[in-house]
Amino acid sequence: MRWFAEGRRKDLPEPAPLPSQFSEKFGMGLQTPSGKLEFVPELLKRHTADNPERPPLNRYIPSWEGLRSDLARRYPLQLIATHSRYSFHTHCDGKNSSVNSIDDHRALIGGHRFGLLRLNPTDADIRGIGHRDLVKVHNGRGAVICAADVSPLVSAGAVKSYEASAEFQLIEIEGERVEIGGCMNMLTPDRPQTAGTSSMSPNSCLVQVEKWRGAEAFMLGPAA
Amino acid sequence: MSKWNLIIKVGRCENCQNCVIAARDEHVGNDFPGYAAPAAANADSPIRILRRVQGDSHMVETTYLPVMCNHCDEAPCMRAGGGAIRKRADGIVIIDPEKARGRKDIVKACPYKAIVWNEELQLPQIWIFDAHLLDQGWPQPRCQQSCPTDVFETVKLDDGAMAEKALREGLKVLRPKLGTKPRVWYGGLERWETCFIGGSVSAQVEDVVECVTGATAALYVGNQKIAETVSDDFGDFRFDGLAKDGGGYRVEIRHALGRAWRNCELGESVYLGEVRLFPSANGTGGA
Repeated sequence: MRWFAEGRRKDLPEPAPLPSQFSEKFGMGLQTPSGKLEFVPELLKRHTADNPERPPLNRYIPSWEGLRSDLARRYPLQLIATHSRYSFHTHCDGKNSSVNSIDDHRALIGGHRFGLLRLNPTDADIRGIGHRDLVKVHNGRGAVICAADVSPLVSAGAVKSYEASAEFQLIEIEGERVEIGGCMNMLTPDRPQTAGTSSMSPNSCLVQVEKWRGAEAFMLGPAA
Repeated sequence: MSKWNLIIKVGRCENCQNCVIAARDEHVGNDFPGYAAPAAANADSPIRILRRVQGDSHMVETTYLPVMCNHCDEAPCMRAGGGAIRKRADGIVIIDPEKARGRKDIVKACPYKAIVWNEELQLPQIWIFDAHLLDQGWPQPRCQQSCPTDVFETVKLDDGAMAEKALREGLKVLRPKLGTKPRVWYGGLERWETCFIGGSVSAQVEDVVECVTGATAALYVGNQKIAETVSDDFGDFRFDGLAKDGGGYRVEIRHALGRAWRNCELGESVYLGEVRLFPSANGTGGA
């Protein structure tokens, strides 16, 4: 931004310089309507007046699905579903790849490789969940069976999984339909993080977690 | 006679699992006659990374420990395996892919759980130190080649020189009391084996709770002071290098803003959390 600070014409190489982006002279000033830094962006003032989620001036907006929502009474844990560490999205996940065999990617329980759900020992203890127990992670959108990874690396009140799964496997056990491929996208909201934008919202998601049956029950399930 | 040794620097591993995947890539479906039969895709990995998490938020510390066949000089598997397992002159242990067929008992012989069972071929298998590659002139096994954080160091030394290096660099082996004489050494193993007691010192200053920098924390066993340290800019203090299951400790903290103390029982590492100072009776907090 040195060129702008010193009032020079923009002298940085651009792959496709577009004269139309500049309001006055091509290459002079920034590409805002005013040509200056805008703390309250003119474009947002013009175009998002009807969108309360995009105020021109940044301010705190309480999460529409967070620990202070009404929904938190039923689903008290905040699910953070991050990018996968050992697969690139769904690439190298599932599909018999070697990455599947990484213990911290998927846990082999009862002959099936479950996705992991990390949770704090406090949250695990009150639910009677032990390390590598199977757990049901659920909310109004569905239920996914994961293997618990209990450690203080996650704060109490939050649980963490990966957001990408190459597997999607719905099974029905005693009238209950659950997903066992680790497809947490079933649980996360369909809406964008901010209305009117392209922004997925894998971290604005409330869930409840409970200990699921043992692996033996699960192994009987698919055979039925 | 110089022999192969692998040195693992404990604090450097951050669990990327490249070494695990590289070992799988090298052996799954690949036959190296005289060294190892193809590994099974669904078998356990011969290189594993163990995890230890100490303390609690926010003073939490994670340590990852890569473990694999130690290529012991007094290998329990060789005693169990008879002629099915041999030790090469360069120190590397090889389970014969022909003679060891059906020998599931060999898996149990290893106290380090480093032998995996290949159900398909009915074979016990290990990480072979990539002997097939070293014999072709590779200076290092694939775990080292694929490691982005320089966890591994491969050295070929005679046993005397290696013992000296271990002494000089503080290298240890896993479970030395077993007398197995591993050829895989660990640097910084204290981080895996010892514990810490830590806490965060705060004090009420007018109507604000502040982190207290420069508070003196002393660690006592009974009446004997065994260590002293000073809190950092976040009020955090920490005593490292304590033995697991070390019994009862007492931490005493003093600062111009006040004093505090805590008792704790050390099994695994303890994070005492926020320790609030209370103004001392004489107003100076000195002791």
